[in-house]
Amino acid sequence: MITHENCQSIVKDIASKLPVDQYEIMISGQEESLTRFANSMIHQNVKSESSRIQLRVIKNNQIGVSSCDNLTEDGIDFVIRNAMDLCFMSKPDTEFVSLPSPSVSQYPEPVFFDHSRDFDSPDYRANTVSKVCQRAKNKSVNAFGKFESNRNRLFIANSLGIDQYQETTNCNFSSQIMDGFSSGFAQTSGRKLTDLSIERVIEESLETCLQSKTLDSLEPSEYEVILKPEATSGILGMLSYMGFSTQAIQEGRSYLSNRLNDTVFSELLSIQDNFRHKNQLMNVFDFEGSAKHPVQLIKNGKFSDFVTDSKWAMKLNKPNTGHALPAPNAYGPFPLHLVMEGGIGGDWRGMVKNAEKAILITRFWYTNPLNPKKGVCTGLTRDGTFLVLNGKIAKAIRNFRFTDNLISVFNSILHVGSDTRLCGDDVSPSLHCQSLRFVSQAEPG
Amino acid sequence: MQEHLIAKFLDKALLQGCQYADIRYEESESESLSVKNEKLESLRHNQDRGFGIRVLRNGSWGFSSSSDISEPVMERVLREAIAIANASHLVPGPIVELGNPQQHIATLPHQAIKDPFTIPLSEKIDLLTETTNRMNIGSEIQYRNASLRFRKFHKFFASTEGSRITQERIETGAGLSAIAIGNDDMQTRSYPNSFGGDFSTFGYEFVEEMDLLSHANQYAQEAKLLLFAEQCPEGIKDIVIDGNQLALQVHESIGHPTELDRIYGFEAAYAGTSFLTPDHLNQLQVGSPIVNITADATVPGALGSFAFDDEGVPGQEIYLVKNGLFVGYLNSRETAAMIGMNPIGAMRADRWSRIPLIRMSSINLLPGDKTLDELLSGIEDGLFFSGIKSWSIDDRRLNFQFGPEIAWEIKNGKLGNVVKNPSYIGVTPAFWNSCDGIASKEFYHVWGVPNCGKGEPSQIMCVSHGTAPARFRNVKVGVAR
Repeated sequence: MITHENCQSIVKDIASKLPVDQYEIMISGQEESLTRFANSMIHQNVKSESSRIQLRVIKNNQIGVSSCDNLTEDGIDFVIRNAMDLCFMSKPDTEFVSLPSPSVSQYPEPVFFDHSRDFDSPDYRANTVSKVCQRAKNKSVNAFGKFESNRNRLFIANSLGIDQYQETTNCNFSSQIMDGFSSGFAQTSGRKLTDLSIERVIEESLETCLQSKTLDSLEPSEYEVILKPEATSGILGMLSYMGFSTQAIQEGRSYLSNRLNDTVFSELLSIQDNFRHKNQLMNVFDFEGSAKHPVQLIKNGKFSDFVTDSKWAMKLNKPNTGHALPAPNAYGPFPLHLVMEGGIGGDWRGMVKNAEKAILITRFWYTNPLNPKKGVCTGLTRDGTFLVLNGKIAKAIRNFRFTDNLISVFNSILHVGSDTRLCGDDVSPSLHCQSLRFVSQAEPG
Repeated sequence: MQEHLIAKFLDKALLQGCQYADIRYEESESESLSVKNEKLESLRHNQDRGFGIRVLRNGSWGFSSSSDISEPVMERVLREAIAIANASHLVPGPIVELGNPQQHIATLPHQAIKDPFTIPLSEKIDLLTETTNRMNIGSEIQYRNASLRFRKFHKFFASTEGSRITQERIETGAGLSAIAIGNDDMQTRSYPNSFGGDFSTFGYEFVEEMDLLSHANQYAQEAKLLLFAEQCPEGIKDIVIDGNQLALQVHESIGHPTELDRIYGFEAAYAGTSFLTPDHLNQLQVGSPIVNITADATVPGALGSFAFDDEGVPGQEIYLVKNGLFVGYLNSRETAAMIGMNPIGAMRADRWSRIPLIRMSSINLLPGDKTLDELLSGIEDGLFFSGIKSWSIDDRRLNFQFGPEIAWEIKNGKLGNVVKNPSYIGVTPAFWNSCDGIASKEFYHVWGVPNCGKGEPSQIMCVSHGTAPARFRNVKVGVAR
């Protein structure tokens, strides 16, 4: 497994072999462990370890990028040879100005690495999985899901003096309880095993499934909706995919194009990209080695800012916010640590109590954009959809398909929950929205 | 990696109490180029190698892998795989059975005539640059993209049952897209298909036959036309779906639901389950009598073709749907044994660090007997859909919604005006039962799909689908607004 010292040693060796104007070296290492369970048994259990070196070289504005997963002398020689060949055969990139120079982060580097022996222990994962399977069996239902843990190391250096190294860990446990066509889902994500709320996940997924024993039909229409954090996360992901790419914004392909400082969403909505949020995964620098900075993307509904990398910062004469993706990057800078700021709306249970008539949604499935320029998207509900009447869950209903303009949906927010949590890559709260347009309902069992 | 070393660790696995073990060693090389508005936007070369050891111990699976190729690391990886299998046994299910042993010795070369890695880079860049130049037909076409992608594999598979299989493979893909932007609107046209174009296991000759240059202007014109077109009408219409979009329809509503791991719940928490439960096998009329769909790993040059899967089972052709009746599953050795079938060779991993999963090969809607004109002539007021823009289907693969790139009105059997933002929605068996015409083999093409996602950790698989345009009656269209 790579260390900062052996990465620096590789750079020292490579640097003397590169007759170029600038270079950038990225070395990454990852150990992934994952246990999947289905029908209350473990059916898949895997581990992988890999490392990778990527070299970007620039000579007379010609750029070559090559990578391989072999960190021996042979592999490194291969990467140098290929990057140089590609560089000399390519045509000059007239937009390229320079790789970034070292930037001093104004934040102390946080350390969030789980060193515990349990972190990648297959026995620890199996024993945790055993708990949910046993609880499911006690209720005569079946447990499905996964428990994964990853150790990541990332090193980036360039010829202008950038020398960044970080070790991180992240883990996720999810449970889907099924009984015929009824199902319930919950998940918990974190940086360390101690961040995970295993008991909550087991309880919530069981409760949701057991409440869904009978699935009724309901006429597809526009309904008030209450989204659990995982459902909010599904919509936030689409909103980001269709809108938050700086390149798409500048090129007129985003619903946010030409709308800087406009109020686009409900004033209750604020979204930031903030790697430092207490629930977020802490990646302190981007894939060019530039220090990350929090960016307030949406403030009280107003489109207030966007992220940059070294290229777009220079192009737009803005500060580099540290949001580069790995080279060669055809997508431009992108926010990877989204946080929808929590409100004062309590949690989804409180929203249910305050709703006269609404649809409660556990999560969404297979969301996909139809018209990114207008924010139109489709998708289905999954693993627990309920009709709420007069402050109570009245009945479970079959999954709905929605097709709607998400900008309108996020303009109709009634309450933002205070129950933010990490859902995969983003931090999301529960939401209560006035309207979501459902166009059809899934088939009965 | 040396074969005798692999044999040594397979023997060790047996000595340490495994009922079965296999080792896969893979090397791959990839190159990707993309040009945007006559400017090289991305050029990348990658090499990848590593191995994975899969063991079955006490009837439970364990798998571990590494990119570090050395005997001490192999020793450790085998130890980890066994420890993981032991942990799996802490929450056991039924003992895994693999059916009859598979023992094959084979060496299979790739099918490319022109190895794309031997074509000068300058020639590839010039082709893409000129392609985008030919799409430059006016200010509406703001983004003109063209791309090439190549991969070359060398894979060695060995098992404790005695298989020793070496396979080589080349994958080649290319495509173009024109993006038109206007007031509050953005429209895209792609050739030969969306999301990178078309892909095969042929060599650079596949790119030459695709002839990007000759198609660039037409697709840019269509993108511009879409910008000024009327919205797709909403209602119930008869429709004809072009082969490229129909390939995705086959993929989502027939390919995935016939994966037997979904039936047994192994993908329930992520990719979902399937409506095609075993009680429907040989019982459910999933399509009209003219609908015949095969899973075929033997189609020459198809992206989903292979000689042996990653369990060492030969790739085969079987029917999934015959005369509209659901008759077959994609399976693994384990799930085939569970249901009492023969394994068909459908277990593949996208790289050395992943375990094989049940994946599509080439899932083909067999051609019918109609010309495209005959399909259109049977429609008074309908729509002709082409290209892929958006797709979504529920976790049991029943309720779907697709958004093609473009649609033409069909009026009295003839193509009429272009309409934009088309979409159609349906339920799988009802939709396929409404199919009353499929174009003949002259209109048939096997589309390469390089981005089929499944599994945790995520895997992206190369599959393919043979399709010709087909007609469907009374379909709900235009729900997207």
